[in-house]
Amino acid sequence: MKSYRQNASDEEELKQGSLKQTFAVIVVLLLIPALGFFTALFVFTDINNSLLQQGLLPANDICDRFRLYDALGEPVTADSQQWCSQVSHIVMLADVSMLAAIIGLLIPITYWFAVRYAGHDRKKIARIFPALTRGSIWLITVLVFLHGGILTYVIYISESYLFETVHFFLVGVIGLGSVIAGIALIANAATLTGKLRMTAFGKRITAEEAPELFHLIDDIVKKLGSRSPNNIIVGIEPTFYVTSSKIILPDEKEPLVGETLYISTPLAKLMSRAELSAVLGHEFGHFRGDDTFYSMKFAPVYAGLGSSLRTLVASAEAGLLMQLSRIPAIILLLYLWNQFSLSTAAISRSRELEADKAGAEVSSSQALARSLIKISLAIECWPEAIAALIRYKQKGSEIPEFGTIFKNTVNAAVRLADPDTILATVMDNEMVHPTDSHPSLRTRLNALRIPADVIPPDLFEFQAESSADLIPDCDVIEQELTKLIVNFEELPDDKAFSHKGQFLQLCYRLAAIIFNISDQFDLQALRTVEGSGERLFENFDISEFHTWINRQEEWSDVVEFIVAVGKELSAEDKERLMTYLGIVANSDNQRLKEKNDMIHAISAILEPERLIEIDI
Amino acid sequence: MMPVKHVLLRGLGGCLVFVMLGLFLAGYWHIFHARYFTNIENSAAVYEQISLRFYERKPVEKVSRWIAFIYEYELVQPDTLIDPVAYFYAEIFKQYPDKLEEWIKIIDSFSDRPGQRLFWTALWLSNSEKGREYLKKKYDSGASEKKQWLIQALAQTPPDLINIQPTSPEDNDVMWGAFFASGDAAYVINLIDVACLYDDSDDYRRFITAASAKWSLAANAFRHISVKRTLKAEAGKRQGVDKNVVLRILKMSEQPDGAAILYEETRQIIRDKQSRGLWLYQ
Repeated sequence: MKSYRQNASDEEELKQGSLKQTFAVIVVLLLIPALGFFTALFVFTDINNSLLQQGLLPANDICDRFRLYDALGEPVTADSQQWCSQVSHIVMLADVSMLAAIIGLLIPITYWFAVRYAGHDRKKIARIFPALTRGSIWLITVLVFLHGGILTYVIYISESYLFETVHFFLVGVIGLGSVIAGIALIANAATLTGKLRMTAFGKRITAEEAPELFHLIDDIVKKLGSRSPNNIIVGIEPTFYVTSSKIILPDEKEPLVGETLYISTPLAKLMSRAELSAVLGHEFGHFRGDDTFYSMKFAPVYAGLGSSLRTLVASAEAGLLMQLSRIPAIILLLYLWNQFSLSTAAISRSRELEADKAGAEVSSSQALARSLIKISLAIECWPEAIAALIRYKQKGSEIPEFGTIFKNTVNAAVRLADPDTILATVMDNEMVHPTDSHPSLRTRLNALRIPADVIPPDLFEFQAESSADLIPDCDVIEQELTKLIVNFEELPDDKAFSHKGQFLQLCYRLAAIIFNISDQFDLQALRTVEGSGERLFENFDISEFHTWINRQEEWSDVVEFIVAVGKELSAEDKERLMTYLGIVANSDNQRLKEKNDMIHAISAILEPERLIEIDI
Repeated sequence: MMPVKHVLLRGLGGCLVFVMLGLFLAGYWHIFHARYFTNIENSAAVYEQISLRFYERKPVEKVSRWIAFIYEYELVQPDTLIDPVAYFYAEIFKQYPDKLEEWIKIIDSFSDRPGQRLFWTALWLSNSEKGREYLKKKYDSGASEKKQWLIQALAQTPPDLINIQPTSPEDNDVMWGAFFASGDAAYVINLIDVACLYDDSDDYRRFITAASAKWSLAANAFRHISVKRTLKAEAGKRQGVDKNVVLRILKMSEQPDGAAILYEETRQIIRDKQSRGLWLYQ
């Protein structure tokens, strides 16, 4: 969940801590060079003192003479050559340490000055940072090699000089760690061309396929005096955005070029048309302010720093020794990330508020506020929905389209929690956009002059008629994309889990049938049933339970399943199941005979030899 | 607006950081990269230490490397070492004509470096067929400013050094160059003759030629046993004032600073003469 939000006060902290951070990063970056330099200094001074005590020239002069003798064809012994080679390695250690120190100073100081020079001027940031970041990443690659070399040689020289022994394993592991990291960084840096491509789980739609949606977009664009996107894609990620980056889609051979609008179908399902219009108005507000152009310029910087960080952190399990030489580089990359964020965050936030004005302009402030709250809540529920999807896959059961899973998850969250609690949870979250960050919901609502306490209580009661109706075959598209996600994720298929899953599925299906016997939908009863399920069963999934309630299964659909799964159940599981079904039957306080008969029937199938008496 | 005091303090702090950084870098450079000698002095000293003993063991196989060394370490300085070094190599070229082709190739491979005149002079002085052929080839293809020198050299027969009496300190150096290559005592005897002949000359040029011959004989006799042997032999052969001159040189060659004493004596005589209104414009 953390990746989807950032504390709103981060920027302030970032500003205050910027100078301290710079000093701290410089200190970290100077540690290994200082170690190398002082080791070289100690050894070299010791050698020279020893030579001077014997009335000889300093090491450099002796080796210079040997070199000249060699050039003149005079014999120089192998021992002398080896001795001079060691001396030159020590001098090289000092030189390389100095070089590493200079690079270590140069990068953060340059970045620090660049941030101050660029300020919050988008043109300057777009001009300076992409090139500066690419250069810095190459320098960091060099730095990783240098730090690895310094550490390796320091250990080698210290051990051989002080203790006359060398632990080659130790030296080798540290060296290998830096070489692996360096090569990985080179490979990564070589791919940073500055032209960002984004991958989206989505499908491109045309005006012929979704005429109503295109009509709505045309209206919004006209109202705003903005321009239409070149491409519209619908997908199942929980976000709306416009971008000028190239977009790679799973079923398109060539990436989409030009300006692209991304519409989230799971979110669209939660919104009315007015709310969707407000969100689209917000997105086209970005076109109006050339925000997509600048986002495209900033995005490669984030992408470059992010991919370099991932490259370095990727082998975190490799052990401390192999990590040793790359730790300063990781810290430096994090610092650069923070510094760049410092420059762009304020711009991004002000542009978002401008775009919000556009959203309110085409619809209404209330509609935009409602959509923003819904999106914030939906983002909160996204990981849970993904987890539910994974559970479906693990159980090997038929997977519904992701939009339904998502909607059920959001429904469950809304029904279980108090609206005020939900608002409090989402109010300080920042929505994530692929290429920049958004202000917190509280800030945005304040800017729209919508106080949180006037949010209507029915906000979270999602209407049956949603804006997703503008997208024909929405469910089919979601189904296709869900399959892609399932195949994309490496999901474990655990037999033990599958057995447990089947038991849980039996619980859901039987509880849903009993619950649906009542004519009226009772929210309080549903919450009781969900709460009891969570207490009685490990991994009880409210979202999946909702899916089964929505399916409205008949008794005949489930009998075979009870027989099949019942054979595998322990006495304890059976007892828990029957207890739960009793709670479900009793949840609405309507002692219906139908429910009682159903429970007896289930009991008869599960334990024909002993009919369990259940008091409902 | 930041107070002036703060601005000054910050500026001072910044300067201090830069000064400390500069001191640190200077210290680093001094410790790890400083030499007692500059490279050229060090390399010239080593070169001389090795090459000036050529006559003793005649390591012909190393001559190619020495030629390359002179070019690579840029030991050729205009108007200083050219003549003695040229005569040194001229003697070697004369002694080993069968190796000349190999050495000419080395010389030619450095034709883009300064100091071409040094080895052209050596080739001309060696008076060898191959040397003249090479100079002719260079004349045919060379640039105009070198053509003048080449045509003059090719038109003249080189001097036979062994029969020439030095008339300047530079001539003395040339004698030494030839001696260190050949080991021929005749060159040393030439210098002894000059030292004796003009010992008390009132002519400044003759005097300084004799004086430089004396201190160079003392210096080289200290380092080269064959020079000392020649001095002793000549002392036995000579009579009167000449004998005394040679014996004095021999005495001075016994001590490491003997040449320096002779040099200082020469300076004193010149100062005395100048105090009496003589040799004022030398």
